[in-house]
Amino acid sequence: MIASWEAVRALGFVDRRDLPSAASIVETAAVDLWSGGLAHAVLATIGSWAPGLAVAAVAGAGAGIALALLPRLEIATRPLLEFVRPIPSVALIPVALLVLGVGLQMQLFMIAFASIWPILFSTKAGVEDVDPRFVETGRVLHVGRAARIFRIVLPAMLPSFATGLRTASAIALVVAITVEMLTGQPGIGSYIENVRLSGLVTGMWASIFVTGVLGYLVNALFVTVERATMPWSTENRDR
Amino acid sequence: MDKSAAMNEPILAVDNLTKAFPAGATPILNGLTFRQEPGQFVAVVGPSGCGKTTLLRCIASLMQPDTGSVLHRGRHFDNPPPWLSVVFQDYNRSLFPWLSVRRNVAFGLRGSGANDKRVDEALRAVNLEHAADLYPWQVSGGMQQRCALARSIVVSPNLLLLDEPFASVDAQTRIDLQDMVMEICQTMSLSALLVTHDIDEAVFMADKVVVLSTRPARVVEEIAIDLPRPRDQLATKETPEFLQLRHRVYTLVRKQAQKLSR
Repeated sequence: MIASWEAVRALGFVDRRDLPSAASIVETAAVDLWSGGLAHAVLATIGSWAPGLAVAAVAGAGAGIALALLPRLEIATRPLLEFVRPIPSVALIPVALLVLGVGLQMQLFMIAFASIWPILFSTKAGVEDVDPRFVETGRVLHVGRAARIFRIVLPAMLPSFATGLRTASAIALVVAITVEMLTGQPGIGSYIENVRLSGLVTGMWASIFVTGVLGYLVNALFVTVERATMPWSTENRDR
Repeated sequence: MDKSAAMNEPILAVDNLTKAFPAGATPILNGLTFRQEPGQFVAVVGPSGCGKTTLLRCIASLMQPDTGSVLHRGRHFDNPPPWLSVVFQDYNRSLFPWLSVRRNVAFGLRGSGANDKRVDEALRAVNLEHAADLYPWQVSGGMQQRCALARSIVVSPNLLLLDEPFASVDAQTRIDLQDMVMEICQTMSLSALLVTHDIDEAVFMADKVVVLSTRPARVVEEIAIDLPRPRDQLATKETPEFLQLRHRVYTLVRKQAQKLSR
């Protein structure tokens, strides 16, 4: 990665002043994190990312389970979902600004709105794909209908929910940072904008680099938790 | 009905059973009738695709017949009766992968209390104590089927339904499982209904073999298997009586299969 970065610099297509060396970017990242400014920005972004994603997780899982178990509800809400879902979430930023104004509330709404879809649809598919033989096994073991949902359907769909949550976590991060860039809400997004406007090119690259590392760590965190809590899912077996 | 009358009822009475699936299609079962007495081991054989699994699902009350009835000790059930247990063929689809072997076995038990002891006993009966804390997908196919067997006997059933339970395991494991199931049925005084396509297995294990016709399935013949117990994989299978019975069942099934290919 570092080699390709340095190769692009050496080729000279881009002004070298706009492409600082990899070493200086990493060094600046470390200094800016240590001095506090960038670290605060990262924490602020996590501070809106986590609750926004949590709201999406709860609402998405609840809606996904309800839609999978209640076909009538699914049919009734299908046109609405098919219409709302393809709207690129950033296109709703003006509406959110108009209704909710600038602030954490608006940012949380945007994060939750954008990241609810993968959670909702993977949960729904997970519930729908539960092997009917599992449910039948519950019946022959004399497990009642409600208990079959809690003891069989929900555990069986957990890996699908987790996959949706992991996809959503990346989307939530993108939206959190986008909103910060556009509205100046504290976080990495507004930090990047500020260093860019101050002409601190290396500082800008450093904060982008830190953002990349954050995205990587978020994904790694979810993969680790999935493996630890669901060693039995087909994805995690034999690891 | 008083209690003594209920005791005299057959554990299972299948009467004039007809089932089309999906509804409106050509019937799979057509006027099928047979009975099973308490403590009896019955094997149902027939040409492949004749509707054995549909029959088993009707008997388990997982499916309701279109006409006719399935009575368990003289009563009709909309859901599997509490004294009935089922072992399915595809253990990898019926054991819950998120639960250990032990917790799979305990799945059908309510409350806690004396459950640990019962689970231990069931695990011992199928020789699986050493694998209790592993996940089903970490153990062999034969062990998974033993886990499914333990789960079905831990609730102390009276009637055990076995749907091709040995079809997905290798030959040696199949033999071991046959012996294990017969021994368990003997010690627990369990009635068992085995659905199988393996004629040797049916004659070797059962007290009565019910031969089904091709689709739509009806009962072609019921054959009493009066071979002495305990039965031995080598000695029993070499007796002239076993060979005669096997020949008779085989001839009946082949006749049906030939009808199908014509």
